Amino acid sequence: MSGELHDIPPDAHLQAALRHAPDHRVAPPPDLSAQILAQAHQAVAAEPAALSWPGRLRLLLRALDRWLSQPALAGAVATLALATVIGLMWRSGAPTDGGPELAEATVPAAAPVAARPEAADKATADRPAADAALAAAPQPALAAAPPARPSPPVRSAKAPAPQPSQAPVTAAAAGAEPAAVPSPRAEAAQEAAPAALASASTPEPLGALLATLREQPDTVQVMPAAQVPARADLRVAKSLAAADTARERSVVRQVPAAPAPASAPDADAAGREWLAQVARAAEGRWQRAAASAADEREAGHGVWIDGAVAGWLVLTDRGVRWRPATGPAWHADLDAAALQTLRTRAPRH
Amino acid sequence: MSDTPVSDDVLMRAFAQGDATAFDQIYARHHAALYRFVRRVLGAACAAQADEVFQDTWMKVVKARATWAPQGAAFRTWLFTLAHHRAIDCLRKSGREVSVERDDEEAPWEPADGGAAWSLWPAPPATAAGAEDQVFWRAAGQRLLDCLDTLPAAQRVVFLLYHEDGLPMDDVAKALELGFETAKSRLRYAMSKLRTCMGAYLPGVATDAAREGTAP
Repeated sequence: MSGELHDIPPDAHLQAALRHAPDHRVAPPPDLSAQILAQAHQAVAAEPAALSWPGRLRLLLRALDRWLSQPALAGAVATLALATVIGLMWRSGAPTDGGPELAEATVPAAAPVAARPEAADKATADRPAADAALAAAPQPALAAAPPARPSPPVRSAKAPAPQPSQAPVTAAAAGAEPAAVPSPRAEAAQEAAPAALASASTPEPLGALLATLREQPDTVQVMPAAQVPARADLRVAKSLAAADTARERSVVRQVPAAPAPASAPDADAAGREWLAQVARAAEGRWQRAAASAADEREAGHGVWIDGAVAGWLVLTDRGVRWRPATGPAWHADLDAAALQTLRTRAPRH
Repeated sequence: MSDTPVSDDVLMRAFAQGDATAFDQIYARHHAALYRFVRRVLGAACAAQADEVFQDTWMKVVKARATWAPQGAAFRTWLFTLAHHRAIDCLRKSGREVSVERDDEEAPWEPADGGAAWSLWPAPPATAAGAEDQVFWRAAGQRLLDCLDTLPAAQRVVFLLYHEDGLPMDDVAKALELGFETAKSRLRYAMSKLRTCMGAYLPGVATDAAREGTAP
C-alpha cells in the first residue's frame, strides 16, 4: 500500500501555489471561534451524557438522591413501594389461606359421584381419622338419592365409603319395588342389632326387624306409642344407627337411655307375634312414603330392640306405615280384611 | 519528554469525559486548516456558507464526543470527513454539480513532455519564496484557486486533502469513504486538469507577476 501511495507523488508546483494562495492564512472569524468554543463548553457542562459509565452512574445516583430528598416525591415513592409489597403478599398468601377447601372447590360441583373415585379417595385421605370414620358411617338419606345425582366434592368424598348395608338401598333406589331379601349384614350381625336397624330403610323395611325377631326375640318389644318415653330413646337409637364400629357402639351405649317400659312376658310375646303378622302382611308391598305431618308416636306402636326405639308402626286407613328411627318412612297398602285383623290384634297393654 | 504534544485521540477522550479544555486544544490545532478546506471545497459560489459549514462541523464533533472512538483513522481524518459531508450537502442544496462519473470516464490529460509543463516556472520554494518569487507564487496561488473552482467537487476534495492537508492517499480514501483506486483516479484527473489550467495561463501569470514585481 505504501508503494501505491507514492504512485502519484504530490505536484510540488501545485503545492507551492496552494501555500502562496491568498487564502492560505485565512482563519475563521474570532467571534465564530468563540461561539464554537462556548457551545462546546456549554455542552460539556449541561450534558453529562458524554461521561464514561462510572461517571454516568455517579451522576445518576446523585440526581436520584436529590430527587428523593424532596418530601412529596419520597412519600409518593414510599406509598407505591408499600402498595406493591402488600399486593405481592396478598397474591402469594391467597392460595395458602384457601387450603384444602380451595382445592376441593376446584373440582366441578356437577361431577357425578361415581365418576370421581380418585378425587374422593384423595379427599378422604386428607381428612383426619375421625372425619374418615364419619364418612364411613351409614348415610341412609344420601344412599337413597339417585346414583347419578350430582353432588358437591365434599359429599362425594363420603359417598364411596364401603357400606355393604347400603348396597340393597341403592338397588332399591334403582328398582320400583322393595325387595324381600334382607341385608346379609343385618342377618349376620347379632351384636349389631341397632346398627341393623339402619337397614330398616331397605326395600323390606322390616326385614332386619324380623331377623332380630327370629334370632333374639326377647330383645324385641312392641307397645302402644302412648306408653313410649320416646324422645330420649329416639336420640339413642339414632346414635346407635350412626355408629359403625363395636367400640363406637359401646361408647354410645354408655349414654343413659330411658329404661324400656316394663311389660308382662305374655304381652311382649303378643306384641312380637303382632309384629310378625304385620311384617308378613306387608311383605312385598312397601313403598316409600312421604313425610307425614302426624306424629306416629301418638297414634301407632313403638318397636323396641334391646332397649332402644327401632321405629313406629301405624295402622292407617289403607294399610300400615313404618317409620324407622332413622331414614325415610315406608307404607304398605293392605286389603281391608288384613288391616282389620291387624287392628284387632294390635297390642293394647 | 514533557514537550511531546498530546495526541488528538487522547484529547478527544478527555473531552468526552467532560474536559472542555481538551476541546480548546483540538480546535486550536485544526481550526485554520479545516476552515481553509471548507472555503476551498465550497468555492466562490458557496463561500457565504463557509462559516455555517465550519461551525456545523465542529458541533458534530461536540455531539459525537461520547460515541467517538478511533477506528483506524486519525481524528484529523474523521474531522475532514465530517466537513466534507457537510460541504457536499451545501453544494447539492445550492444546485452545484457534485457527480464526477462522466469526468472519470475520460482519459486524464497528461503533458506530452511529462514535466515540461513547468519548465518555464521557477522552482517551487521549499518554505517561503523570495521577494520576487513571492509575487509570482501569490499570483500562481490565486490562479490555482480559480482553477479549483472549475473542478468537480469530488476531484477538488481529493486534491485538497492530498496536497493541502497532506493526508496519505489511503486516509484520503477513508475520509471520502471511497475505494483507494477511485480516490487515486480522481486525484489523477484533478492534477491533470489543474496542470492544464495553470499551464494555459502560465504566460499570463508570469507576465502579471513580472508586472507586479516591477511596479513602482
